[in-house]
Amino acid sequence: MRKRKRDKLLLSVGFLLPAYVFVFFAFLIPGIWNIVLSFQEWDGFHEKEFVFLDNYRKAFGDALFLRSLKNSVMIAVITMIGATLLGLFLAMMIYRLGKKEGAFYRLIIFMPSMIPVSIIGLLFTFIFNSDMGLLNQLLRLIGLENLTTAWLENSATVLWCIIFVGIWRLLGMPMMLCFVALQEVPSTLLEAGKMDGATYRQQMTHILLPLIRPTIGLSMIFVLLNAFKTYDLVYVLTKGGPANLSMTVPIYMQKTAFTYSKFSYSSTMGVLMAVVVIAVVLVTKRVMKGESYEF
Amino acid sequence: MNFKRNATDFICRAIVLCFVLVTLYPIIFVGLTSLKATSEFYSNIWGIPKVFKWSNYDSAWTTSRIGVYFRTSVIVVGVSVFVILICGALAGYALSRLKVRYVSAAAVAIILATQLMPLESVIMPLYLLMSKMKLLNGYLTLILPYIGWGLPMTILIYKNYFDTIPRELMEAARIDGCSELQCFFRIAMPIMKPATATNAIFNFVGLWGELLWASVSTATSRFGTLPIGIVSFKQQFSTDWGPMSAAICIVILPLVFLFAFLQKYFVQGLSSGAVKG
Repeated sequence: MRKRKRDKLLLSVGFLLPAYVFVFFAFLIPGIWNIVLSFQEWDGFHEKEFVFLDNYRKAFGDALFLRSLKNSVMIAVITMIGATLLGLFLAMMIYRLGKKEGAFYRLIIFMPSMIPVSIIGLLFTFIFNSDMGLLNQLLRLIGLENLTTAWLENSATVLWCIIFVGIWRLLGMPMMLCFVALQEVPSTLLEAGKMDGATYRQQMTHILLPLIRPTIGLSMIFVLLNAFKTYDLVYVLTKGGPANLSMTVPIYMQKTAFTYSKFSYSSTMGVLMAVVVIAVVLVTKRVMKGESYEF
Repeated sequence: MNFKRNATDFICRAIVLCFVLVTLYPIIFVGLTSLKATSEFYSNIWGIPKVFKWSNYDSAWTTSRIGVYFRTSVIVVGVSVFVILICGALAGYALSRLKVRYVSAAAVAIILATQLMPLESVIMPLYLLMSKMKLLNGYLTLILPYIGWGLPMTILIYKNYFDTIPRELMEAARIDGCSELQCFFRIAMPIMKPATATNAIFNFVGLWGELLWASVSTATSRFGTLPIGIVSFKQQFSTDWGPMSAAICIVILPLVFLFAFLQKYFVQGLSSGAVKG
């Protein structure tokens, strides 16, 4: 019996080992090193010096870092709200249109979720480009010449462009998740509502929405985590410009590390970013908390 | 009553179709532009090309070396996904079937920890680590981290899927004299086909467009994957809209095919990975 137990342990470790070697190498070791480095002062050449919270103090006094953080959070939160609301709305419409017809729409609307973000960024440089861009062309075509602008170079529009692309790209996920959840609600519940004379909208708001609330919360977290990953998109669209106005934390971090060799300061920003992401996720979870139903 | 019902249906359809159009248009636009000569692009931005200029693809593929980047991407992503699937399946199996008290708990905790860690903050220390190990000069530069990053989610999806397979199936095989490894390869893996498909697609899609690590780690060399190729293409020939669009189409096409045929698994993975993750 004892031998069997030992065998099982060996086997289990043997099965886990190959995978975890990679995870340790690519995730855990650099992650922990990142935290350690954030308490040190190091430029890549000189000796590492332990400075405890100096880097953190510096971060909170760094206007550009604070702006990047604000941009990151703003982009993520607005993208999350926009994409989830629109996704939910679309899921309800498609749910009504029935399975066969809906399948086609779902396929199309979900498609952007699997196109690489860098490519999506390029697609939208075609659209936002100031002279040949589709958006300006369209505005000229319908006679709204005075609305045309250099979308990505204009400080008033640049963040909204990034948010728009984020919503465009992520919309499919909440749509798909909510649709699947709607389908799992037994039709008897809806029929009962119909008997009592509920209209389609009433059925939706009073019966279906409360039932799929956990899924809505889940989609929000999903979109949120994706929307915080702004590196590819912002890098391709604006590189953080104009004049650092659309700078987000991931871009600033890589720039600090690889252009200015301030490795330890970059890792401090990484830690702060992680803390903020976790905080926003927790708040979202808290807000969306509710009863879940079994059926 | 009936009329009203139809009217609501009609409005729903109209709204959904608007969204479909907004989603599809940028992609169609790039498809059309990829077949236009630059002069035609300026004169006829909205329409269908009058002459199909297939040579745009040719010039993107050879002159701007998209072909070379494509080959690199295929090798890097192919090897990474293959290793991820094998290691992930083994680990998922161990976590679901061979529960050993502390080991399993620690392994799951590690996966959860990685989910909370933004990848961006791992990039720089990993770069330093790999430059110390002299691993910054070839395929392994990209493959090793890609495997590590893809694994946690893959393990989780495999584990959740193994959990749904009835225990009796394995017990029966064991009674018939299967060793644990035989059980894994002969019984578990064949049943796991849907999970394997899901994981393969998810990892493929995630890695095919990965830009951050690729751009950081290959910054000093001519070596690179497709996203790198496309971004540097944009910086060099930003007004060459035709070949540029052709390059974009070359990146998207494999994904579109994959997605069209394996859509089912994609959605399954989205919900199975999400629900418990």
